[in-house]
Amino acid sequence: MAAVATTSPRRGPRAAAGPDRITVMLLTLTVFLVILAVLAWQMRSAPPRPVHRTVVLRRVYETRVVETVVGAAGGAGSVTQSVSSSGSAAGVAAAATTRTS
Amino acid sequence: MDSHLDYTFRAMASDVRLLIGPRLRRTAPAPLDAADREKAFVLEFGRRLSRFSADSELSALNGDPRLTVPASALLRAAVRAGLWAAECSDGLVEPTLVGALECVGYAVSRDGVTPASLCTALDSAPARRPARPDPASRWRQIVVHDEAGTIVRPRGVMLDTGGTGKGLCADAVACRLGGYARFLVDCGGDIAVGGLGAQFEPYEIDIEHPLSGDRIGRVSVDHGGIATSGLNVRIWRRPDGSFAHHLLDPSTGQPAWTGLIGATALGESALEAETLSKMALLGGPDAARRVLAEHGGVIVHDSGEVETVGPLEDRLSTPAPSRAVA
Repeated sequence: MAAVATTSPRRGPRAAAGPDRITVMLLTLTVFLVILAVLAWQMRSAPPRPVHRTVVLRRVYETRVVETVVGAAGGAGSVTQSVSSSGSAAGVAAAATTRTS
Repeated sequence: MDSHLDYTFRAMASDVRLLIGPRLRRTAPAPLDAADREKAFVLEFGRRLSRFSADSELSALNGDPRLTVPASALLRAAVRAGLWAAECSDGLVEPTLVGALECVGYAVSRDGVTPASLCTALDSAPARRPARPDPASRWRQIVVHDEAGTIVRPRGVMLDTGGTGKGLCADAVACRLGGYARFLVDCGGDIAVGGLGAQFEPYEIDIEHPLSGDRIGRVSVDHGGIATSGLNVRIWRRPDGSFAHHLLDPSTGQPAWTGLIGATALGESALEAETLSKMALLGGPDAARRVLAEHGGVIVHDSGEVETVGPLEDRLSTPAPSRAVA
């Protein structure tokens, strides 16, 4: 009877079965950084999103500001400014007067 | 919606009023900013061209002993306007009467001084007659050189740009307001009107009576100028008891008593209107009717009677109660 020799597999550490852990980690990190760079490049080259401008329309029916400065120097004894606006132009610009000066 | 800025300030011994409509150009400043800018311009204009200020450019010119004097662009423009008025009026409205004005008592500004009574002055005034040009025509010897930036005038001849200054200033400001739909520039009653919008919505302008201050009438102006000259504001009593005013007869150097106390003229510009109104008043009633025939105007006689002349007769919304001359 022939003897059958059996060998049981060795349970020790596998010395050269594949890349070591550090290499795997470095490769993973590299791939991650590459993906990150690609995504960043794509975001930069993407067309800008349309800017939503807000237009505020304001209709001023009547505004009147009167400012009086008394005693201004340089011959301008008093200054009166008035700003007015309304729907009726005729009522805004009062008639001017030509007179002797 | 239409809007107007109504802006008033004091300059050149007068009230200056700006009416500025909406912007025509997007780049034009807001009307209030434009008015602030024009106020600075008018104050500077008056300061540099005042005969009564010793440090003005005009006083420097008058005090310069040289025949040829360097002059700024503004001073050259003002002198040129005075010469233009003299040319138009054949010497009746001329800028070389400074010495005569000082002799009759107008050596200092009369801003804020209560005028003498015009009615009293008329009672004691000499016989009426039209003013005439000075035969010497010294204004013809004045030359403005823009290339050289100089003014050449005979020794001793002093210049006064006050006779045409307000009209010129109104026109200058009007030019600067070209970016607005419509505008009115009122420099002490010498008024310039412009802008496309004024063609469709003309400005209403009242004419004031020199004696009563009442409104003679209202005229619509869509472009150009309108101006009034009169005896009622710059009038005073001299030490000898006689009365004097600032509108002189160039041939005598004395105040002109022509039978008219006020004249209003329309023109293509405020400068032209101012020149025409002075020509009318100095020329007396007959000459005034000729002078004002083209653009129209109003004359006020010594009696206070109002007479409309030329095209203005149809444009006054409140016609004068007295006769009208076509």
